[in-house]
Amino acid sequence: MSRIGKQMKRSLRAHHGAHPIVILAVMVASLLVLPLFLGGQVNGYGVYAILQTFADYGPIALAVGMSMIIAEYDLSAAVVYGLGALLAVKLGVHSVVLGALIAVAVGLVGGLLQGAIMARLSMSSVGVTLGGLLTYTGITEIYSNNKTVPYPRFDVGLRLDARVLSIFSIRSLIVIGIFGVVAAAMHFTRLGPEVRGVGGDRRSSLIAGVPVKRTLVGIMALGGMVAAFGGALDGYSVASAVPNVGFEPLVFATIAAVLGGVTLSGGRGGPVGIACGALSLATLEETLIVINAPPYVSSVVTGILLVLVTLATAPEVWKLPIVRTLLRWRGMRAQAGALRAQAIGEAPGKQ
Amino acid sequence: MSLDTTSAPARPSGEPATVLARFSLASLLQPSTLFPALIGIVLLIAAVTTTGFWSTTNIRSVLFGAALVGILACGLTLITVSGNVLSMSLGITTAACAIAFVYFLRLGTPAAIVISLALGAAICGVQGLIAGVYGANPIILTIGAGVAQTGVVEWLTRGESITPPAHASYSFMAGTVAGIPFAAYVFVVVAIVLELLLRRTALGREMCLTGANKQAARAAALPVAGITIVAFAVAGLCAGATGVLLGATNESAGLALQANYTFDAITAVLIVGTVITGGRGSAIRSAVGAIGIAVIASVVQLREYSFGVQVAVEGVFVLVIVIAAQIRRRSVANR
Repeated sequence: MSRIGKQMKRSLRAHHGAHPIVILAVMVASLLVLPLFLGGQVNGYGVYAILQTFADYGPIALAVGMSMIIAEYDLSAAVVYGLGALLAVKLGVHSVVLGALIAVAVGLVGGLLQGAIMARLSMSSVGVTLGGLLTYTGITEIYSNNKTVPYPRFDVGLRLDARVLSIFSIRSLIVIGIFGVVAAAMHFTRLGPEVRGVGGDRRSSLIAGVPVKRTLVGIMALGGMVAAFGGALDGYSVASAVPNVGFEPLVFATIAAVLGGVTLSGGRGGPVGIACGALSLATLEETLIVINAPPYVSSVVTGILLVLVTLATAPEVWKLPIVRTLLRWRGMRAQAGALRAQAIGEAPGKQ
Repeated sequence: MSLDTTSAPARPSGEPATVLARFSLASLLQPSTLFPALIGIVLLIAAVTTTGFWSTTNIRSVLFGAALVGILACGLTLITVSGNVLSMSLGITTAACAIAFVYFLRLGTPAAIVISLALGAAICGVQGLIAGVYGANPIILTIGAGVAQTGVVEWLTRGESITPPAHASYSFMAGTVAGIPFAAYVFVVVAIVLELLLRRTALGREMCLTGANKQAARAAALPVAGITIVAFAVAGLCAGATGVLLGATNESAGLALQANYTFDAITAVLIVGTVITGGRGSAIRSAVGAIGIAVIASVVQLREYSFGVQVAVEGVFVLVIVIAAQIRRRSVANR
């Protein structure tokens, strides 16, 4: 590879990982500006709807995002979500808490099993979580008898989704709380550096004494619990559970994680970024609803968005002409800054 | 590193062929061979003990189901062998090609077939380009491409099924030849052609090398990006062929045609021990995996179990095989 190519790669790596706050700001701006040109109206209910979508898919985004930070990819998270909803709906009729606890327990066990297989046998997540996805799908379809299962207690959903402070609901506040707890654990304990270390360079982390296997198992278990709990909340909210949630939640979760600064190669990002990414995507979806876009537009936009973010975070994206031009321009600016600093006697390399 | 596609070294005349020598008892007792064989035995027992399995209608149905999944699985094998793990959207591409085939029957059957094949190759080829040239993660890329395809197909079809023109002649593809479904013949041809491609051509060897070690392949000046594009494009051709057969059989085409084909093809490839990281694989083995999937589906249907049983069984089989293959790899590496 040429010297310029190597410099381009280094520059890209330094700026890899999106700026989640900037992206969220762009999405909010689109929500406010686009309806002015394309019709539709934004109001307080729209913000509530965005936070409800965040409550729907945020837990899966957290599960998938955390697995991506440790350089894996949990394909089974969305199906665990669906199974969590089913368990809560079927077993939470007399006790809402019991239904949710059983869902969390099943998610925990599944996550522990998958994580243990991956850690013990040094296996990539693709095969294991694919097998897990198929097994969970089968279990969900068998347990639901391949039919949508209704939940008779509508009052639970009404209470969970009742507006609090006009834009929140108990459900969205619970999900925000989950993100907060995980973010605090990552920030204030050594969990954060260990998780990012395992994702960034597993071998070096092992040499440095990081409990790599325990971290791997822990993150998979956390993902299972969070996804299942999110599913339980969703099941109570819509008072039903479907036999097959499809790919949509996984797509949302992946885009949300990448928009939130998590890279596919691992080692970067955190719960706050993932939350921003999920909010950004929820805002985009609300924008499409507000401008009365037909339903297929959402599929096309989210699909293309996922392809674009996969391309943007690809290791050799610097080969794209537009990226080369951008980096060259950035390189020229850096050079110009260095020359100016030299001319007026400042320390070189300072911009 | 051993490759399935390396040819036998020169031997003095009179020695038995290397192919037979490979099937020693020791190699048969390895987990990566033993478990697929055990699963095969389980399936055989299940099939034998299921009432109605051996009826002509059911065998024909199993062959047809195996053919559709098998053609996809053979194409997917090339993606896996070349180090691109898997494609998560071959099913939706198949449905899109089926819709295109049924729609373009107004231009004649040959034109409709060509357009369907070209569409499949183009859709998957573009994904191969993004993965091959820029190194994009193929799993996530193909998930996104699948969702985008779903949206585009919904937009173009307005959610309705497309029906063929009245005078179109395509029913021969839905029929049988000497009692065996036409699709089964296509399946056999595709499996043999792709197996020969992997074993007997320079391209096939380069695919295996690229899958085994991409950096080494680049250092050896192999056209890694081009190989990836070709692997995806051939998988797309297979999706196109499956789409044509599906469209011809159903006499209409819509998004629902994708059914469970994506995961069935993936299961067929993994269940026979194909290494998910690439470098090794066989189209014929994947074809056998597809027959296994069709047998599972038939047994489940005949015993009136739910579809969930089929998916759960496939999931457990995938886990067992993938774990067994990894145990085998680790034990070889630790010797």
